Amino acid sequence: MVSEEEIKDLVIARLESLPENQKISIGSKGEFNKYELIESVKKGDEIGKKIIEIELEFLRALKKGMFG
Amino acid sequence: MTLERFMKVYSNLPINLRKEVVIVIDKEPISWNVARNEIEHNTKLGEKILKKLIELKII
Amino acid sequence: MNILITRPEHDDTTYYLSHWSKKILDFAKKKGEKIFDLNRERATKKEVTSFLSKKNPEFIIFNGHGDDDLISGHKNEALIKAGENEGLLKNKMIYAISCKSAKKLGPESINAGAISYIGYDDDFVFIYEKNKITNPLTDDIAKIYLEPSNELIISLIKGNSTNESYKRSQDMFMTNLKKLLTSEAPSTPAVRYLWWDIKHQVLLGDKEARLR
Repeated sequence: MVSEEEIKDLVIARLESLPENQKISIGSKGEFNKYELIESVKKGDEIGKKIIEIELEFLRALKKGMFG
Repeated sequence: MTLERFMKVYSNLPINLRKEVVIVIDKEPISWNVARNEIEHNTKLGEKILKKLIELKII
Repeated sequence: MNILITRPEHDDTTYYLSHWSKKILDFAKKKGEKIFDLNRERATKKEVTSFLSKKNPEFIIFNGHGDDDLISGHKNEALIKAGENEGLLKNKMIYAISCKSAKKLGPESINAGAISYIGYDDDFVFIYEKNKITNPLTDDIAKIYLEPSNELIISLIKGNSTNESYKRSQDMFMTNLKKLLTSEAPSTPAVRYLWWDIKHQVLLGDKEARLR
C-alpha cells in the first residue's frame, strides 16, 4: 500500500525539476515558485493536494500511452 | 508478466520523459531509466519499484 | 457583432491573461467587430451588468479568476454567480478562462438560456517566467498555454462553430504538448500542466453555434 508520505516524496522529487525563474499560476489560488509548492505538498494544504492531483493524473496518462 | 507491464508503458514514453522521476524508494528518487535497469535485472530494488508503480496505478 | 471582454489586472495571473488578450482585441478590430473592453478597474459587476443590458453582446470573453459557481473580475469581485444572475448570459456565447466556472456556472448558464459556454471545470494552470512579468507577450513558456486559449476565441470570431473552435484549441494544446515531448525539446514540467488544461477544457451547450 502506497502511503501518503510516499506520494508526497514522489511529487516533491518531480517538483524539483521546475526551473528557479519560473512560477506556476494555479487558477484562483495564486502564483507559486517551486519552493512554495514543495512546502504546500509537505503541509498537505489545498495547493499541495491540487499539485499532487495534477502530477498523478499525468503519470497515469502515461500508462494509457497518451503521449507515445 | 510485471516486466512486460512495465515495458509496455516504458516503450511508449517519449524519450525526454524517461529521465523524469517516476517513484521514490527509501527517500531515493528513481527515474524511468533507472527503474528499467533495476527491473530488467530482477533486483530487489526492481521488485520494490514494480510493486509501488502498480499500487500507484502508474503501470 | 458585439463582443464584450473583461480584463482585470490585479495580480500576475490576471495581468498575463489581460495582456495575452490584446491579441484578441487586435484581431477583432481588424475584422471590424465591435469589442467592448472592460479593462482593469472597469471589470466590475456594475459595468458588466450595464454593458450586457445596453449593448447586448453576442459573445462574451471572461478573463480573470473564478470558482465552480462564479466568474470574477477586478480584485476578484464576482461578476456572474450561479443562482444570482446567470440569466444575464441568456442568448449569448461565452468563453471563460475563469477557473472551474464550467463546473457549475457553465451548466446553470445553459439552463438559463446561454447558447454555449466554453471554459474549464477545474483550475486553469500555466507556467510563466518571472522576468517576463513586465512584458508577458514575450514569454514563450506562457505562450504554449495562452495561445491555444486565444485560438479558440479567434476561431469563433472567424465564424467557426463552437465545436470546431473547441477542437482547434484542443489540437493546438496537443501540438504544443507534443513539441515538448520530442528528443530535442528541453526537459520541462510544462507538459503536465498542459495536459491538465487540455483535460479540463469543456464545451457546453450548442456545439454547432456560430457567431455569424
